[in-house]
Amino acid sequence: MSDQSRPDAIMMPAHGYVGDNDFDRLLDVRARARKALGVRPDDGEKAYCRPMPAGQGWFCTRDRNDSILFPYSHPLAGRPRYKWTKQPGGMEFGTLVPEATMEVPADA
Amino acid sequence: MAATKVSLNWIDVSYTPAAGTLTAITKVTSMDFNFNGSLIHFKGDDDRYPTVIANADNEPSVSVTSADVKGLYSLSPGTVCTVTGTLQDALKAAGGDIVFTAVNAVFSSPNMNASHGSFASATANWSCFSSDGQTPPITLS
Repeated sequence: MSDQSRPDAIMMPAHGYVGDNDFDRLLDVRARARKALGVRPDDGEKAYCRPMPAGQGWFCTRDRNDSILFPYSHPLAGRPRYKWTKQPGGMEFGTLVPEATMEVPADA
Repeated sequence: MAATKVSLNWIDVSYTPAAGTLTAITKVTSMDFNFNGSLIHFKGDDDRYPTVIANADNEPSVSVTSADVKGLYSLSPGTVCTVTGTLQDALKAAGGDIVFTAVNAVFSSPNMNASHGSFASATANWSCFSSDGQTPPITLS
């Protein structure tokens, strides 16, 4: 998967993962996130998956510092950092908006 | 060997202060990544049971307990860090480890347990904030 075809972020549904228990389902979440994000483990990449509160699913990216919205420290604070596109199976792919690709990294 | 689905021991525990370098924490005996979500329950009229339960507040935190007391006491309260630890597969099977990471983790204070005739240990505590108020600071990978 080329860099151009890899989504910058994904939103995955809260339910529908394979496994008899929570641990199995967590491994399935991680496996699907790695595949959808085109993670390259040999380059040290990981899929960082965040369980969203209130059953809103999983927000996953290749950078552990990513945020859904522009952070409070940014002039565009509160605005979406991604343009979301629905995918089959309930997943959404996020592409960073142009302002997010030029942003200065947050302090932490 | 397939993942055992059973975890045993923390490895690769570390913290990285903002604009700092990674510091490994060794001699780890316990670690906790906690979402600390709390619920509010609504009851009204003649309700005897909650009719709505909502998650309105989350205060994620991380703590590490280690026998390396000096190491955990070398951080200053208020230091913003990234804290990470790997919960290892019980039989070290490939694909069975889970890496926990907390970003925007603000070190609060360590506490110590150093009783006579016992190994001393210290627990370091961090509280985590979200950079946008919406994104959970704790990730699994």
